[in-house]
Amino acid sequence: MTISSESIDLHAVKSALKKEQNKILWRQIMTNGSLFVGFVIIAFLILVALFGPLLMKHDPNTMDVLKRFAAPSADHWFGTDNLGRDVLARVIYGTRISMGIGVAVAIIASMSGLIVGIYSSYYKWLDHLLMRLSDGIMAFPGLLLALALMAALGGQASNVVIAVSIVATPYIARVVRSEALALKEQTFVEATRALGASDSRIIWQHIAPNTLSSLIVQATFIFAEAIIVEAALSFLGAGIPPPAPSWGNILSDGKTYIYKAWWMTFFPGMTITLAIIGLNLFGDGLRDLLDPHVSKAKK
Amino acid sequence: MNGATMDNEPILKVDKLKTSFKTERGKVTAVDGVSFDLLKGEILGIVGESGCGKSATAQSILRLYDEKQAIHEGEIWFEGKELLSLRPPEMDKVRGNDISMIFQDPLSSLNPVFTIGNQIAEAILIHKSISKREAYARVLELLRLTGIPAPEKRINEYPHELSGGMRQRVMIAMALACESKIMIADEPTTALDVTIQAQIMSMIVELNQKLDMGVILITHDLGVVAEVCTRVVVMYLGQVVEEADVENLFTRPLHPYTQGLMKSIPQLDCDRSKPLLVIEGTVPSLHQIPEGCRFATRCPFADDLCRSKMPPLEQYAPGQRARCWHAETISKKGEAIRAWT
Repeated sequence: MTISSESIDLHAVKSALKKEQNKILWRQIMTNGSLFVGFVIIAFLILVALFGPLLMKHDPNTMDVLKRFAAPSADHWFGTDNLGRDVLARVIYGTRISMGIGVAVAIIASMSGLIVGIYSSYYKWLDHLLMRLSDGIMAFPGLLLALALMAALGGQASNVVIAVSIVATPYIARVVRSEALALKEQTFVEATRALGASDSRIIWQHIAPNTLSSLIVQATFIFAEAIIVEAALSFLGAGIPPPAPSWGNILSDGKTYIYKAWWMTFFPGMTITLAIIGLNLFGDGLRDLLDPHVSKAKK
Repeated sequence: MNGATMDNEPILKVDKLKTSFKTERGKVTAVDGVSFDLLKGEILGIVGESGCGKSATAQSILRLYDEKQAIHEGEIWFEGKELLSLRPPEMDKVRGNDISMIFQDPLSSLNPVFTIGNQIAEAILIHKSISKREAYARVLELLRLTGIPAPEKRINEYPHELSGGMRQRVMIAMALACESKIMIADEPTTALDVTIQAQIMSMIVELNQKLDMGVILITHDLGVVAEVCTRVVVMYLGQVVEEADVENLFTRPLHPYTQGLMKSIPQLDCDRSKPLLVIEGTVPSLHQIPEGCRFATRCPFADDLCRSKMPPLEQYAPGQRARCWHAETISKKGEAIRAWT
């Protein structure tokens, strides 16, 4: 009958429309310069972290006293340090450690921030408690608090993750909470309540998925922040215990010889800069893509 | 008449329901002593202008307000249970399962990040322990029941891919998911255009007859009321001012407010040079409720008695109650019509 033929036509129109929309989305991704550049940088660093150590000819911890302070050359691209260790090897291993800590902090802080934010948006008494606690944490400069936590917990890679996650959690919680506060007043939440859904079902099934886009954007910035804080902690000698080559440790080793061997600080410093620029560009691009309100306002 | 089997046995009994909210300016009573019965299989209309407490009444029945801010008094009886005294987990079992609700704006009533199939299935799975596959079979059945074409395709679509009318059908499908005994429809067609309104309303009537489900229809559209409802409750400023069978209400309204509402409906054969009747003034704020009859500030018949003493809701004819000191005289003399025009 007419209806069936119409619905087939409609379907064709619909799939064409979907293709068109995918094309537009793809174009948005490709023309979004910061997203693209950021993504390339992050992807490169992740590949280095995963596969770099396999391709290297030097061990990051093997000392070669005869080759102390060797300037960058074909054999040692980034030169060698005060103990004759290959700086490139150390930077590449450091990528694994620093990016690993960044990812771990981003994931842990996102999860704890999601839990804190979403529950404090939903229960008023918890809101007062958790948000005052967050205010307390946010009142400290992040690095100082992380330093104090490291002093209390002891210098270990896992403790760095814990300390930085504690510092970062309120920043995620704030974003999730504000998003969830608006969502909770939406009619669909009321409608779900009218269906007899329990609080926890509403919170996890209906509010949480809707906060994800802001959460992801915030998490990329936390990722960048975690790398900086970790580097700073290691630089100050309160982070990853040496001789493990985190970026901060390499910098710290080099600082004494900055006039004698510039490459010991220059290359790890540039790597940190690259990672932070990449993550921030990626985060900005992601926000433009996921949050149409901001990008519209810009145009 | 479109009422199904009339057992005259109330399935829901609302008795002196009072809902107040704590606000910065003190306690505000949005619903003040509302009583009515919903009979089995009937469509009961609740009408009144914006802010008269009709939606608040509906939300109070399901206890959807945050109970730290809202205070409920009175009683709501459903199947031997007093809803206002149920503990929250027990109330969760009533919501959606025994009494379901559809809302005004079907777009914002659906979660944008899930497919509609997912959401309807959820409505079932909250209350029934059946497998996902069985739930999906039921979802298809519900989509067919609510007249959604090509349900196998629609089931995987997101709310933004559907039109307003379709979304409201999805909401109705969710409300029907657990074969609830009562459906509360809070202005179900306000956000839709007129042709779709008619389709949705006739579907609600059809489902009411087919499933013998009690419906509370909240609306400000008297045309819809005349067409669909069996009985009507008219509300003004948190109170019931008149309750009547639909014919009585339209042929012999007793309360001046109801009369005013009737008079302000445009008629096809009316004199177009004359402006439509307007009920003068605005609804007083809930913070400054007048003493005496609440409608007295806007009523053309108001006298000193009205302004000093609140009239009781009294029975004037079989099945017709009104809250007015002068109901008898006004309706008899046909004075109303003259005073309003």
